Amino acid sequence: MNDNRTDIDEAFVSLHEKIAAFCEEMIVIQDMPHAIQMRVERLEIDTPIEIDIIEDEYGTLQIGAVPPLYKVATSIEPIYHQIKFRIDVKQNHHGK
Amino acid sequence: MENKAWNLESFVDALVVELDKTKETLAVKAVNKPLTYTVKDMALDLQIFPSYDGDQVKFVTAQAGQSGASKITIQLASITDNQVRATTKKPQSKDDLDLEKVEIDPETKKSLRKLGVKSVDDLKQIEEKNIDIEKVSEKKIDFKNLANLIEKSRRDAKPPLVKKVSMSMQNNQPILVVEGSNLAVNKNFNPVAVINGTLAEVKSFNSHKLEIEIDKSQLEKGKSDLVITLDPYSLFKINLNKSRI
Repeated sequence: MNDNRTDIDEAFVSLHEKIAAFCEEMIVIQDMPHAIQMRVERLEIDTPIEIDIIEDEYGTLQIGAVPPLYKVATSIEPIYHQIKFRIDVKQNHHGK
Repeated sequence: MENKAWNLESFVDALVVELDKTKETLAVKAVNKPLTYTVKDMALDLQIFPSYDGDQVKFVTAQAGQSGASKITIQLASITDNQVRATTKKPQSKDDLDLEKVEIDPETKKSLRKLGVKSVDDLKQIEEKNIDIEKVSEKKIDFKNLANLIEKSRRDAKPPLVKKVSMSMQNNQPILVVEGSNLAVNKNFNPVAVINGTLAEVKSFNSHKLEIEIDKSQLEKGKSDLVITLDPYSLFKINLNKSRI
């Protein structure tokens, strides 16, 4: 038992990694023979999330997050916070 | 494993850092794909236990198995640069002084913080608007004492430094020249020199040089003590020894 942890729980990742990971879902579907392309333009996320807040060695807070870890009921119920955000994707006209 | 208490300001700072990092990651991602990703309208509902120690509100995130937690919602919306300018204070200037660094008693510091006064510039603005800070604060803040402590802190940040002391003659009169940095910097106070308890005339002064006229009879005594008061917060003593070459 260590109450003075300076690292986020290993089951969690930094919140920014978690948010960026959602962008992987912004898939593009291409049907080359018919020259058709479809892509996701907007993704809205509203999900329960487990959060670990720790103070690092420099006194700065670090936020770790992970979506619900277990699909089965456990004897001690985890605490779920709720996170909501929107990812907008725009096509760069210059292709850059 | 107990969750640690945190304050809202630190948490929001951490959240903003996370969003900045997200933006950086997505910007790198956009280099290889002709797409621009933007994260918008983020809201976070946290299950927390708040506590107030009479000074600061702190939160502990609820942990597994705990019930009865309160909910706090943090919503980060996008605002324009004009709105930012209109609703935020100007960043602290180079000459401004953080009141945390001034040796004020904690009670006064707390009273000032409650009034939103965090720096000397904040205090100056209140003074300029002719607000009686002693009346506004429930605890009586001694404004004059506060002003003195601020001046002292300013001086502590720029202490005087004597690099060289030399003697020269002007019109057959011995002149002691003190050279250094941050010497006479207070515009409201002229430096005062006292040699063996008698006032000596400071002929000229600036931040890096003082010229003090010394009575010949004082030097005849062999050992002399010269005390120079630069301003109410800094004085130094020089021992003069007469020697023959």
